Amino acid sequence: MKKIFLLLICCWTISVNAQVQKVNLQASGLTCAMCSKAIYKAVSAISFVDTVLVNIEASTYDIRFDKETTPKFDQIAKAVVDAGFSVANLTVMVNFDKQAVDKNGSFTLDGINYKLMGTPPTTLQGSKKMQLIGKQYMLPKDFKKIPVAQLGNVASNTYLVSLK
Amino acid sequence: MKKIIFFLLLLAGSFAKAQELFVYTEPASNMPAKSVAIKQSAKLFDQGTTSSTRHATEIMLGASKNLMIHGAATYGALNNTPFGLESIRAYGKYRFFSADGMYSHFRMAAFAEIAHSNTKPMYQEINLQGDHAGMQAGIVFTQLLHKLAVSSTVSYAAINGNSKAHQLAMGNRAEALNYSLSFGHLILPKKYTSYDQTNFNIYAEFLGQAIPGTRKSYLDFAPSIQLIFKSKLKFNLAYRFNLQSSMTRMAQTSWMLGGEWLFLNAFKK
Repeated sequence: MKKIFLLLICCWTISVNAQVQKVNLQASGLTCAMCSKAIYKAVSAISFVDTVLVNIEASTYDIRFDKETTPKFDQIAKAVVDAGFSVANLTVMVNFDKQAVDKNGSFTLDGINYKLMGTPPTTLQGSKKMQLIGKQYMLPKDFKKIPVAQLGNVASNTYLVSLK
Repeated sequence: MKKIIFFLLLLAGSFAKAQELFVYTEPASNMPAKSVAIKQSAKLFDQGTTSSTRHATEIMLGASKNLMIHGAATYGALNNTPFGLESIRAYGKYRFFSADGMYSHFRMAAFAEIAHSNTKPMYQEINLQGDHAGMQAGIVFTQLLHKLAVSSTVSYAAINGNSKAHQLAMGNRAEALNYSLSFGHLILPKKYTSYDQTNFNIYAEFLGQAIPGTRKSYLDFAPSIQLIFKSKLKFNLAYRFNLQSSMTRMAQTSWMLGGEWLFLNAFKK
């Protein structure tokens, strides 16, 4: 019985750990609290978003998701743009548990497909930060620095990310 | 002139962030999509021995991230007429360019408006916010740069219908070129910690009009203060006075007191 219990605890721990913990969003194009609140409200209204913790001064938003939901990062970016502003940085915080990565850098976690930029490791372990790469997720000056070769060959249902 | 320099120094000297929620002009930025705002304002025109008041109610809608629409009505008791509805106006603004940086942006928008007015024009000044029926179209440029928001508008207005007939009968022209240059600055809070903090902003706006083909023009300066409560309720107090004028106008100086309530995510798509 103890063994089963231990096994259950292990399974529970793994399933909790290996997932997106939260997303850190930094918005650009604003300096006023009214503008910041517009983004806060727009992001909070997204169906899979649970809580949003904001730092108005830094224009950053810590976004946590409802359990049992699959967050869609493109919807977060769209909410910011619809509020009238842009995304400067969108970073996903993940707690990996021996996540296998294929030779192209692709892997799937909680139903979300990712592709790592650069030379990928074979496995991902522990707490990592992954910055989303794409025109809608970065400042134009940062996006220009991304080599064009890295941007090709990414399926539309896959997020291109860079380990930080 | 001293007043202007004092205000501009105040703008340049404060070490805070910029604001572009101008009192007399619209920035190139729009309201967030799916939001609604209601604006109520009262203008008091100083006409020397007498004065007139004009009230305006305006409903503003963020139709999409790039498009916003306003509907407005003005009513009041001007030039010794009984209190009543004067004009209605529809306004649309489309943001067609946006370059956002961290704590900065440069944006451009095009706008057009159409107004209907019951009043009989009495002055050479052309004004679609109550006095005349007609159309106006123009372009807005806004630069937000950490500590300063600067916005400029250039537009062309042409009046029509009875407004035009009255204006022409008085020997006046029925079209005008309008321009503005606005500066905005956030004074308080020094550091943002919550949406409940009261914001205190100051603005300085230059508002001008020239009648093409004539030497008639005016240039006003309008300093204003603004309080924003809980990031949704705005109060504006402005004083507008004449720097130069070579045309007949309702008043050389006026006060404006206004309030605006913003409702974010007011409607579903």
